[in-house]
Amino acid sequence: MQLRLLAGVLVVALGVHAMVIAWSHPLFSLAGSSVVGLATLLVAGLSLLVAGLVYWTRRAHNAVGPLLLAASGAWFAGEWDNPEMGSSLLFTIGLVLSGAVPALLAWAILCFPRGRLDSLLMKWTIAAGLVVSIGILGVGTVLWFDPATTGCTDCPRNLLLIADWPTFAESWQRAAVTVMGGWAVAAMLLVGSRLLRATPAQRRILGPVSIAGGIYLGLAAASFAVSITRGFLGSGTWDERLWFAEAISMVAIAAAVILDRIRVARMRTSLVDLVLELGRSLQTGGSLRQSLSRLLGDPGLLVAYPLTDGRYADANGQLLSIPPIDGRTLTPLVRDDRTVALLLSKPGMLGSPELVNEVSSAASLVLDHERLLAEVETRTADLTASRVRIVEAGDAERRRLERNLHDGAQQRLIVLLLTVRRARSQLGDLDDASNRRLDEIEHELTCALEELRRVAHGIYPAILADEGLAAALDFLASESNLLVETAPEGRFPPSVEHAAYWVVAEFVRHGRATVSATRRTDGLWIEVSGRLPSGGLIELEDHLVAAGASIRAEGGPGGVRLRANIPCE
Amino acid sequence: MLLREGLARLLTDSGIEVVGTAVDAPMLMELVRQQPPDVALVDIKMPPTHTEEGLVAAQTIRHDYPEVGVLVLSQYLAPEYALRLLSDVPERVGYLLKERVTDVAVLVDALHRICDGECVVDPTIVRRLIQRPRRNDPVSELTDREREVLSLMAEGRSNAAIGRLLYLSGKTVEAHIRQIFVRLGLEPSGDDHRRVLAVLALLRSTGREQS
Repeated sequence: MQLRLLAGVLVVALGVHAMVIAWSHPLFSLAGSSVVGLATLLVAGLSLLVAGLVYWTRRAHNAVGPLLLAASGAWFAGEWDNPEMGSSLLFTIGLVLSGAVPALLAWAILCFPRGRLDSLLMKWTIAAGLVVSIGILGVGTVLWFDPATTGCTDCPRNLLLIADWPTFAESWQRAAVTVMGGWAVAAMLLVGSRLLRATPAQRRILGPVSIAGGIYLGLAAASFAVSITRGFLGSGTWDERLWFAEAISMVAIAAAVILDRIRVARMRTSLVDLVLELGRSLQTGGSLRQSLSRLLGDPGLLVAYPLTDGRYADANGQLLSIPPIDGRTLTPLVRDDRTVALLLSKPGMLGSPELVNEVSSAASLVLDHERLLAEVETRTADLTASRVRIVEAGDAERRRLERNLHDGAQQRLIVLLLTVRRARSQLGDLDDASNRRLDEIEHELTCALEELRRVAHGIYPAILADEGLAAALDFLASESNLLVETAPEGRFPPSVEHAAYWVVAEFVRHGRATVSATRRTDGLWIEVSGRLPSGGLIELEDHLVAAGASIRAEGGPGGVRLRANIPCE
Repeated sequence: MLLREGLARLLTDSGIEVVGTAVDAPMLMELVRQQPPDVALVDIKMPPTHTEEGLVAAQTIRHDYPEVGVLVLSQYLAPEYALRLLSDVPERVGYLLKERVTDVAVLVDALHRICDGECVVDPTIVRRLIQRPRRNDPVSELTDREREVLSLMAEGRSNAAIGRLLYLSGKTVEAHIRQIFVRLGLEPSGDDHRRVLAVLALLRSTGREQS
């Protein structure tokens, strides 16, 4: 904080000082010739100063702020190479820094907004710019340049002067200016290509600063080019125009930087809103997805949570394939080195890692909540699926058993009864004892057949599969103490008919029961009342839940009323 | 299969000519086409799926060969199967529980009655229908005696047979039957036709509101 304050005050002082100097000796300054020039000098420098301070304040460990401040300082210090300067030291510094602004600004632009240069090429370009502009053009030229020889008799002493070789100094400077001209073009292209290669989201952030910066670097290249023929940075008509244009583009850079800070601040506000909103709707799954897709303007955004078994699911327990198959971009939200969620978004929507971090920390509570929700929902879905498989396998097995009983045991019993009766008729008249014995055998066989049919029907009522629920319920009613109040005509999916039938059958097994079943648009509604033993509901639930039913039961041992809605897809 | 062979032997013993036996529906249809019998005796369960092939085959025969009667053997007590068979063409058809075949007299009687153009429904099924608890159903309006008459009608008995079985005069039986027709709301038309409709009303009365 104090460092920033100090730097700020220093640069402001520098600016005021530079103005005074420029004003008092307009011949040596592009700004000093008019009030407009002075104002331009001040506004351009101060806007960079303000942008730098704002950025530095918001992001203390980011190089962009200090670099903008440095550029602002160099901009003002460039006015020190003025005869009015008085101090030889400051005069010399002015000479050295007079060409340093483009390199410093290029650095700030290329490392915006993260404060780091992304590629080696950028690092080398910036290093080259600093070395050439400060080292070769600044210090290098100053070594052989005595202002007195060039006609500035009242200029302060050049502290770095080694030898007064005006011709050599001029050639040297021309070479350095030429190199800087080329460098500025290269830096401009680098800024442009960085912008073009960025994702749409990154482009929204980089755009304003990069465009203003590119224009500035282009203007800098032009003013270096204008100076090549002359060999030094001078103050001709073109120089003046270019200088004004550069100053305006500097103001644009500063404005772009400040605008970006405002954008981030607004995003923070929406993130705060997001957190508040999420806090309110913590109960329902999928709320983060909705809020984020609204915030980021991507309606198809998905939030995938890693499950403990390595799969991924959304907050509703819907399994998602990772990596995404539809070309969505995958952005991990990481906290404490652990991936808490994956964002699946339109390519480029989440280009800014800064935004991802903000989301990750803003929604940390909800992320945890929804991840656990996803875990629970997925497990529940797994369980339901396995319950469905078990019930289906059970039904198939029952059906197979029922067929086997009819095709095997029943046939044999009938043939046996047939054989007994034929034998009896062939034996002719028998004594009473034999007749009684044969009567007993026939009676037992008939009872066995009856028993077998009852067992087979209990195992699997063929009429349910053949004729449907209404017929099966009617048949059940004819067999037992069941009152069918209403039963829907027509057929339902087998799983629905089975579930409904088993529920009624289970009630009937324990005594009197009443059933009323109706078809509605949302599937089959069935209401059964009767008695169930304690825990009797659980077995029913297996069948009902396997068919996707929702159940409501009321009552107790005295009588249970169960209402279930079984959806038909 | 054992039962098929046993039945063929039993019927031959009882003086009924067995013109052929078939193992599945296509073979049955081929047999009926080549030498149409008086009655086809069909098991409701046939290969390959053992569900309803027999019932479907029976309906096809009734439809394509009206002069051929069909007696369906079933292991199901449910009347819906019988109803499906009877609603189509309610004559020359019968529906018996499978174990009934062990009672030669019943089986032969049923075959003869079907030959004569009657309908035969297994007495066990009819009894269950009559006893079934029901609501909003004209059958429940009948007196006990009328119900007895109706159930015998449903089994396919003639007026004379009903009178004999219930120890009633022919006139009394006729009076009961007329009363049944009235209570079931059957318009006067051919008596035979109304008899069948009365039986169908019984089979259809399933104790529930039609929704």
